[in-house]
Amino acid sequence: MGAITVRNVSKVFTSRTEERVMALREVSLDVAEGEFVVLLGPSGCGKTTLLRIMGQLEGATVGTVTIESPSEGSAESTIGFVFQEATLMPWRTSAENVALPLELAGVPKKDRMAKVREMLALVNLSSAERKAPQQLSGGMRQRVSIARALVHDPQVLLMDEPFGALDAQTRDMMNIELQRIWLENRKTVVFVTHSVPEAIFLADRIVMMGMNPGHIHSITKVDLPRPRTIEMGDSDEFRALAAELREQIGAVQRPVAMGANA
Amino acid sequence: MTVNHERDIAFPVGTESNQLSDEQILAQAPKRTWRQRWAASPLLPLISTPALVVVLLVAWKIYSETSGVSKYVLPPPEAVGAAFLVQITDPFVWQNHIWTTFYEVMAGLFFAIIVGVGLGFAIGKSPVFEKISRPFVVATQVIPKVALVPLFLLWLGFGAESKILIAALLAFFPLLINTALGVRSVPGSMHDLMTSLKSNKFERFWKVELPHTMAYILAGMELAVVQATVGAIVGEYLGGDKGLGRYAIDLQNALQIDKLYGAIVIMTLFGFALYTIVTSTRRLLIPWHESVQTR
Repeated sequence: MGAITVRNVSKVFTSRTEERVMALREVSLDVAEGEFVVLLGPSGCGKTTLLRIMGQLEGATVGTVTIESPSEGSAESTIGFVFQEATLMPWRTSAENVALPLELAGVPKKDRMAKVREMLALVNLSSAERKAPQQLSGGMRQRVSIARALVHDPQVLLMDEPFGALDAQTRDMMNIELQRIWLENRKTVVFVTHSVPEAIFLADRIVMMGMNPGHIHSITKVDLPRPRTIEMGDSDEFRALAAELREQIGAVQRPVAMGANA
Repeated sequence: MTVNHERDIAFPVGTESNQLSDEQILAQAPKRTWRQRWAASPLLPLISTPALVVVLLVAWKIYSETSGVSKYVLPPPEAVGAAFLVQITDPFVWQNHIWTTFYEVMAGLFFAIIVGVGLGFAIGKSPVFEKISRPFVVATQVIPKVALVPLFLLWLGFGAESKILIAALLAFFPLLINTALGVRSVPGSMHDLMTSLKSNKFERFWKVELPHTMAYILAGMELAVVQATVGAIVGEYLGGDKGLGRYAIDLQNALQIDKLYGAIVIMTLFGFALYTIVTSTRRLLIPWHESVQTR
């Protein structure tokens, strides 16, 4: 369960002036169950759009996305989404925020609390149960939002640059935490970033996307052993991979020759 | 190159660290000035308000004694005070005037909330509805509403109904504007979150839109409660036989000027009371909001 199949997905946005802009063109991708895939690429290459289509926040103009259901004939597959901002409701405590997906799924109140506590413990925030989001730091807020994304035990976890707004140290720490959580529950994860080291640290496979219109440029397998450490960033293997990926980003960013794309 | 900092600093700079104890360094930090301490003190308004009222009363007393102004134009403060005490202990004033105005304001607010918040949500949610309704909503605000009062008296009579309508007409607009603004300012990511959790429209309304917009509605309420009071009192001025506005007109006609001033004091306190109710509601309904957090 949880495998994602993207088939020939194109996305066209129509502007106010009826101008049509192609954000994605004929994208196909298979994400295996339990795999950690990172979408990497320059801004404007459509990686967030692709993620949003996978999460059914937006429809594809052409093409299909299927997420494998838990079992035959069971309910629709469920998705946990983590956004760039933590998107916590300030009128709810941490625990109440984490409980939201359970509420919406109709889980009775008395059954929610145990699951919520388990999730807060998973993200090391048991002490913040009764705290309001305003009382938490940026990293803590994002951890609450990860707990919320996992609480209803979704098949897939979609993460849209979740640590982009955090400082470098907090970001490293969050990457270690996320790897630990993922190693514990092995969800299928699709993670969008434009940080090369973050991509290498987290990914089983890195999908490099190019632009004008958005497409998959190349897919790179990351074979570093797990659990990975921040110190691996200094290893030759890591550095070589980073250099190669940076070169690829440079290549996809270069303007397309006139006529080549017409 | 070496730089000698010794001239700039009052203490000699040596090679050893810990020349000064923590206490010695901490003691060098400037103390907070009395100004800073006053600004942060919750006692300030409790002292300054009565003090300024006393200053005002003394100035009033001196002016009424020395300027030779007629006591029918400006009675001395003690005469107004005495009149106020008589009025505020008179059950007839409470039953006939204060209660009537209170009832009109509350009923006016009730309808203003229903119409203002309802339309505000509709306008905030639907750009099409906004474009269609905007000219009419603006029309209700740009016509001089007081000019409509004679019409309302004609339609609804001299009783409370006509005043309730005026109060509601004045109060609904700030509620509508604020509600629409609140609905529209729900962050897009919060909508995405609810979409990703496959929530329906009711869940979206109860769990996101209403709580988010509550802060805006209450900001609108602060204006609405003042507007409703103005509406009810102006309505009473122009027709009817009850309410604080009517009471003021009667006192003017009877040349009971000290009591007229007393009635104005009652209206002021009345307004303060309603305003305080709204601001306390804020603390109750949106304790999480930054406008309520203590600084």
